Amino acid sequence: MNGDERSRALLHDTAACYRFVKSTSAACKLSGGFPSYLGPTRKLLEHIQELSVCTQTFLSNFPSTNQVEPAEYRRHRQLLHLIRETWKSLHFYVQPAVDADTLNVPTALVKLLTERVQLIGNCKSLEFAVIHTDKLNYFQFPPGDFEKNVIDLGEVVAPRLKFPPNLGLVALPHSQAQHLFLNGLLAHEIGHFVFARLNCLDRIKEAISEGFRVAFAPTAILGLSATQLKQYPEVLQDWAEELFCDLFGVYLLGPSFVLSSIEFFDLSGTLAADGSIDERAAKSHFKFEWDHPARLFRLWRQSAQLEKLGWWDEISKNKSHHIRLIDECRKLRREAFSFEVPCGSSIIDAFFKTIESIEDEVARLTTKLRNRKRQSREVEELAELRDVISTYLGHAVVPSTLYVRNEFKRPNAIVLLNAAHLFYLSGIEDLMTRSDMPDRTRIDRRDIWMERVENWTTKALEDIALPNLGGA
Amino acid sequence: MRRIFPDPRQHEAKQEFDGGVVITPMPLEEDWSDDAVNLRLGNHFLLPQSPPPPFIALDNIRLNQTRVHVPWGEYLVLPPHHTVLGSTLEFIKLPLDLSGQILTRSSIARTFIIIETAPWIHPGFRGCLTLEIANVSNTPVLLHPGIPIGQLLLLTVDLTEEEKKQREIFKGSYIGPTFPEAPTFKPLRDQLQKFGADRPKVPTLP
Repeated sequence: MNGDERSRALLHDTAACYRFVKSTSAACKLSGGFPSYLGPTRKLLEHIQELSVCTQTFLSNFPSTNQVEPAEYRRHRQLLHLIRETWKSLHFYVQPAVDADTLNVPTALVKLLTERVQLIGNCKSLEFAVIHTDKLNYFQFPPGDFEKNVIDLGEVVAPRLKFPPNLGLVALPHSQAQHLFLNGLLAHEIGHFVFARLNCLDRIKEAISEGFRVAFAPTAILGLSATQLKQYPEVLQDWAEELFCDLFGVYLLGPSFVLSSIEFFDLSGTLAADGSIDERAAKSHFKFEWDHPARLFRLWRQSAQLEKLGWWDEISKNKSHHIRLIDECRKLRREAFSFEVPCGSSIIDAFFKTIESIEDEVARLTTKLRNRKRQSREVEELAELRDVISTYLGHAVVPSTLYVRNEFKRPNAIVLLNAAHLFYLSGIEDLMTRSDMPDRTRIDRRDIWMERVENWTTKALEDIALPNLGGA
Repeated sequence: MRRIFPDPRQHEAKQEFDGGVVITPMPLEEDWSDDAVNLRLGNHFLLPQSPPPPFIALDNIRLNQTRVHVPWGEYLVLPPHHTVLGSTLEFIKLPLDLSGQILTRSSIARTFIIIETAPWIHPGFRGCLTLEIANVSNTPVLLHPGIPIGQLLLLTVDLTEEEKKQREIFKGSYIGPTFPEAPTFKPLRDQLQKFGADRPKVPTLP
């Protein structure tokens, strides 16, 4: 190609890239007030939009000559490649973020979770943009992944444009966006962000190495291949992070987090007809996987955490099968679990030796959130208000201003969430028997009342977030 | 019928739940007067279809309304001669011996905003009150969620024990709404045939 041909080729491809960027970011252009977004999601959309404007301006300014030399041509090609690749990766986030307006995420729950995280030292300015995913799972996008793309591009097209610091990205399945209780699993994903941002792995790494050394006798280590020697400690790190996030979820939301996990992972299906854990049906849930510990192991540790924090005594009185499952899990022992790879048992042994360090790390981080006073206050308040909140919900009333012992009281948000979650599990039939269709076998009616209980709880969470309303 | 406003402190959550009034979240002290309490505008609205359909038959149709959420501090613009469904911020529960009425606050009414065309609240009602908000002025009006927009008045009613029993039952699927919900109608044919009317005619859409 001669200089003129190179110029024409670049002009065409630059315009094509410009169009690609413009159309990719078009949905981020927020005009007017609707739909409305939570602050962090709005920040994300605005950042992408600004980056788009800067990219388009940058593209408008090159190449500027009619004759392009080969060296310049190569440089421009590289820049176009960087821009294309970055926007290809940003494309993934745009529509899921645009879809996650305040009507399509559990807004009250996200605000509550953010407030709880911000109580933790070094997390005061963390915030979370919740977006959708078409996968039936919850995700956290590692802070580095998104930012790195944006920062690399930003350095070229807009050096002054900075990605919002301390903005975490978490995703929930779009089909579950309207649910309240199930989305308690967001607490786990937020845990991943905190784990990475506060470098928690650095403090657990030593315990993992130590556990590995102790669990594998020197002769056994000699038997491992180079790949296994590299791979197994990494597996332990992944498991440690998963367990950390589960325990973090329990610290943030209390029993409600555990109950969400049971429903989402369909763990209540492991209960046999006699109410014990059906070891055959639950076989897969006893198995550790490469990227996460066994589901029932996780539930076992969560139940231990509930006990440690004082929640268990309060929730154990609830008559739901979810609580029965947690109770059954408390009886599990190390021998129940397996990891079906060579030396799998030793790897699990190594992991068991690190559990204490992981629990310590969660406890250390959440000292402020869980100072003894606050913790016991929440448990005590659940004991005091659980029946009252159930009475309100059982009478189809939003439990945001409660009348208790001759005075009006606004419940703590965590207490409200947990009491309502327990009612959701065991109180729906109370509501059904008061209705004109009391047949408790009508699944479609049960669905309606379950949705109503979530709506009333959401409304109550929104109400109690208003500082001046609602009495004391 | 005697108009009263019961002291909400008489309400007892557990033992006498059915007998009490609940207004939650509890309004501010300044919102209470001798015979009424101010209610505030909630965050959720149902916008009518735009452009409007050629007609609406009061049949078991689904109206194409759009739900929007307006955060605190933001506003919804209600153009002149337009309507929108909203709801009160407060969730109300009435006992079986009280009915209620929601009225536009006089200062709001003087801007030619009407908030209710079906103001009556039946004994035993529970939910955020749906507001049929109409701007009958010639000026766009900004609706900020949280503004005191209506007044709730209560009136005693004498129901027989049998009537009370009937009202204790939660009827239908729309009990306890927390945001405005689209209306539901029984099939038009059923409504009319009940008293022996002929088949209803409804124009066909082009």
